[in-house]
Amino acid sequence: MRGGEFLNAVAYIDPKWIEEAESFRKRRAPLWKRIAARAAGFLLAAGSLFLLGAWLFLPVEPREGSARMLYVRVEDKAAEYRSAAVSRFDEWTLSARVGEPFGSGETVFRLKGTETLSRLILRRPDGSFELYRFVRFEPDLTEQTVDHLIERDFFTEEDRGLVRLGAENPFGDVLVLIYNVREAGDIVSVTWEKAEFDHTKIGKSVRVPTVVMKDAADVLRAYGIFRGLVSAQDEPAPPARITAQTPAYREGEAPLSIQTGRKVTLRLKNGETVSLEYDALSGVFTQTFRSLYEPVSEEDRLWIAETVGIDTEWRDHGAASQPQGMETAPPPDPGQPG
Amino acid sequence: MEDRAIVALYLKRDEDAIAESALKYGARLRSISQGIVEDAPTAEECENDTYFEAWRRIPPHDPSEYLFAFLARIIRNLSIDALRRQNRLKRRADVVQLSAEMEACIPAPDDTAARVEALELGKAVGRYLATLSEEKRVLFVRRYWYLDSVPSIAERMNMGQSRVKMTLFRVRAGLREFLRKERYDL
Repeated sequence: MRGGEFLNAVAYIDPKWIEEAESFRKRRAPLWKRIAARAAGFLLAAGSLFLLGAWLFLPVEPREGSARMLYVRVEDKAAEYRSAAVSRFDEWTLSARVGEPFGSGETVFRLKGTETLSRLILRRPDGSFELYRFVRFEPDLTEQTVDHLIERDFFTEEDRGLVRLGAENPFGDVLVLIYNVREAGDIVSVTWEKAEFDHTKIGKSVRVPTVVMKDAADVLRAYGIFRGLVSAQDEPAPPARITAQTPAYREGEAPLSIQTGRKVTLRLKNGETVSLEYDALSGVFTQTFRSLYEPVSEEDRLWIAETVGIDTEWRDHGAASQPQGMETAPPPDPGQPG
Repeated sequence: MEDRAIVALYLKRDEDAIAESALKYGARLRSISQGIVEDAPTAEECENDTYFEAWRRIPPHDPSEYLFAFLARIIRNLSIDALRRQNRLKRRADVVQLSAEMEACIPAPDDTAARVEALELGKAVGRYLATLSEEKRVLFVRRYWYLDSVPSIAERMNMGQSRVKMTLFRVRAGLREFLRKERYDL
């Protein structure tokens, strides 16, 4: 059968199909429907792009347990820091834009740097920061060395040419660079509270007032102190932890740490918090009880003690095996008989 | 006037039946013919012949339910015949194309002995068309019954020509398979 004959055969299809095809006209949707459909499509596309962009580019907080240390090699200098949170886009493109992961990809990155930066800031899993300044950077830094650096809170020039941060004000830089705290007004409050959690009877008996600084003048003064914190040059011993078992306490030489120590929390306008520990006896701010900063001035130490209500005098809260907390005379002279 | 009333005039041998047919369907019938013969005078002639052919066929036919299709079929066949008489059928590129399309759909060896009545085949095609969606069916009928061009169909259906062609291709493939299953040896 040839096609032409088939065309004739088609003539004998059911008349209702012929009628249907004659009357069928596919109409365009009304203008308003077409406009609405296109507007809806545009909004959907725009919304999707917005969400994708937000997901890609908004900063994401580091996962629990991951430390973030970034360092940069610029000729023979290492520099750069990392903000507390970067976007997924930054993470994805980090190795392409700034360098390659070094060691564990989540904690250490080797970055391309600039010539103007000279500091390293390490964010520990607990959220605290350690600050370092490289003066010389070994190009063949091994993973073990990096781990070693992370473990230690300082290093000397013998440590492959790395030194701790020096005379600059690193914690001020942390506030500015990490938390975007550029003025006292960016701090909502500073809370001074009990630093230690002591389950002992003596520990529980020590009353430590919680003081929340909100007064603008107090916050301004505290902000000045924080900004002035400088890293300790030498390898200082962290403030000793004095407990009821410590001979210095039993001999009336030093007050309990739970009495003189404070956990300091800066609550920021941007909703973030920054924590430090403070030992009122030494006037030293630390993070995670490691001595990082030089002691504050005597004037500042006294101001803090007075404003926050820190009792730096020895108080007899009792011996470890004795009932507590009343003020008594100093223990007898051990040289005396009986 | 309703189709039933017009057909009643045919059955009563009232010549007003032709006038009423022309009044209701004349333009559409001319359009069908014009699409095939591509010549206005010939299309008018085909229209005229259609009414007389309908007068001749009614009765015994009673197309009360499908008068338009009845008249459209007549004018379609008359228009194709007109093209044959003018030896223009084979020169109509689109008709040649249509024939080729249908041949591709229903390939037949030249030496096939069996013949199928056009009417039976037409019914088979109709059964196939019943399985299609309205849009596909209209596409097929507009193309192979009304002999519309692809651009004309695209405009009527408010779709792109590529889509028209692709849909027709798929419908023809489906018809081929359908007829094979119905065991039409061609």
